[in-house]
Amino acid sequence: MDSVFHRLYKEYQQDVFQFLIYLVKNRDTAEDLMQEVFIRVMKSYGNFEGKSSEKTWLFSIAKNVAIDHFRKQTTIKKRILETFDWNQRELVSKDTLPQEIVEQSEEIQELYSLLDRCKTDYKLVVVMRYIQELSIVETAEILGWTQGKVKTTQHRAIKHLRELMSHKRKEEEEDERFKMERSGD
Amino acid sequence: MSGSKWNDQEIKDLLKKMPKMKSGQSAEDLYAQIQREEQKKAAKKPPIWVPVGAGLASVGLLILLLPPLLPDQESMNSSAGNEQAAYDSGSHDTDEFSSSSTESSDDRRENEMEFADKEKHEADKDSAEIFSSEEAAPEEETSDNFTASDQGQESDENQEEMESQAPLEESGETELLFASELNGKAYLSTALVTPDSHIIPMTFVLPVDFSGQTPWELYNRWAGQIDEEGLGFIEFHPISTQVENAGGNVLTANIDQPENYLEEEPTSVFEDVMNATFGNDGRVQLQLLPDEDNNSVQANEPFELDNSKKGYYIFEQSTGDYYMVQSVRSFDTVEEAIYSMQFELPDDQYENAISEQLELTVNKAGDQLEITLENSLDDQAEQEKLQFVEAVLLTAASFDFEEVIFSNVSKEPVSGIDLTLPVEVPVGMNTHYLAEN
Repeated sequence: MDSVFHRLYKEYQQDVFQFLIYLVKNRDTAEDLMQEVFIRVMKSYGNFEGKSSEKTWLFSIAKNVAIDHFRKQTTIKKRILETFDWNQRELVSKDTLPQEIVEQSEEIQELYSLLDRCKTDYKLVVVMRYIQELSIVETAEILGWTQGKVKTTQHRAIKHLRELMSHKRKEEEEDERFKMERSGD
Repeated sequence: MSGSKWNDQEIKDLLKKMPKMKSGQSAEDLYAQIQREEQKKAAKKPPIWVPVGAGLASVGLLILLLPPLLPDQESMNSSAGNEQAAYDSGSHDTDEFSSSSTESSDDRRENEMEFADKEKHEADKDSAEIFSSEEAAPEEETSDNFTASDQGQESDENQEEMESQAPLEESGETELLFASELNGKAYLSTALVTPDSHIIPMTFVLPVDFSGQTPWELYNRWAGQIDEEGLGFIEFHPISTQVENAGGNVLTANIDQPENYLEEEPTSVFEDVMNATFGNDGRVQLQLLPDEDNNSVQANEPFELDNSKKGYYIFEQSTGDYYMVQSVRSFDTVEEAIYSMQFELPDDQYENAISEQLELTVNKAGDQLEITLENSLDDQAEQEKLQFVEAVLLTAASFDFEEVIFSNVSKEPVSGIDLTLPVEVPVGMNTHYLAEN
């Protein structure tokens, strides 16, 4: 087996997989995309001159693969479905929660589900900054953005998630109150 | 936490607690799977060079057949492309630029010509199975609006062009596209995106005649036919099949999700691709509109496209193949562009198209650009010569010159381009031929 492939895979496999699965929310899809990432990596490795870090270069390829996937899915959905709910925001996974998430607290499960209600750029920044723990500089390099844009997007994404979580919590509290009122009648 | 409110820090803390998700796929499995996929793809698709080789082989065939019809070299010095411009040697501007350096150039490969010869040989072998402009001609007759007399006239014009072109003799290696090679075909200029987000300008010769179609009409019809993945690029096109002229110089493109391109891609990638696609005929504005069904996105402000006044560089593949690529910035003058092409690099993966060792002077004379070499081009490897000529021709085209005069060069043609005559500027680069699907 190609030694470059082996080294890159060994070093970045889990990071890239985690990045992809949090974006696409499906293990099989994430594994398919991993394959595409490494195909592109092998094709363009000869042109990589090491001016950026190997890690950010690899993540930028993974990001492009994920965005391509979203585009293709959107096109496929559009072709197949006569009535597509465009207000649904990108691809909302209908898969059951992965085991790793099910084992977490209810709040984490909620937040994981609510990531689907974010625009893709919010999701990318959130996954890179908080789940992959990449720095602002690394995130900016991967996305081809300025550091300022990363900070602004990150701020908006957190605000959006905060509002979604608060809204959900409010609904739950109201449900609770309603149930208590019903039981008191 | 009190009440239903969350604060930012609590959200961030929760995100950081998200569990690690691990892939169980082994390196060996993935590698084997990739190899299987690649083998499948290779079995399905013809090699990248086949369509190009076919086009070049057909041009080569024409050249072999035409010599008896051609006038002698003396009379072949004044025309280029569809709009001919006579060379007035007495009208040179005093405007001048020169540069020199004694620094040595980068190491270069020596096997390029061998590679090109091999490609050409293989293309000849396969030419019966692949698309060539002659073979496509009967199909076009049924699919376009040309009358028989139009076609006759077209054919006569092509014949005249063939007779008066300097660059076409044995033009087996350059991937520039000249108007005279089109034989009335339409072509689509665009750019493709490499997996690591480099923008490669491309020209696709289409299997239909040119009958006044606008660049956006051609894009709407043909961009989806480009096998980007097969050519080694990411899937990017089409961004829309509804690009229209909204009046004046404003184009609109109805696309599903404009924010995908403007926010999620590095914006410059999208703009550079659009520039190479719609910015070639003067300054235009492009406005992205949400798809009719998409109520969640507002129309974007139009942004300006202008693909003129660029400099050209080399983007080399690990295979030894190369593409001509262009600067992102537009230069104020052709002298600045040529200086940059020789001594600067806008991207760490680009290479200079003009060797630092060359001493050259740039003169402008109406529609002609004159490049005078102070030292011999013969010291350069054959591929370096070709890259120099290609880059200068593309730059001249980008600055709206019609022809380039290379002065003080040897009489030997460079990869079939006769530099002792005025050379027409190309209409495209990195040429591929699209077959009808």
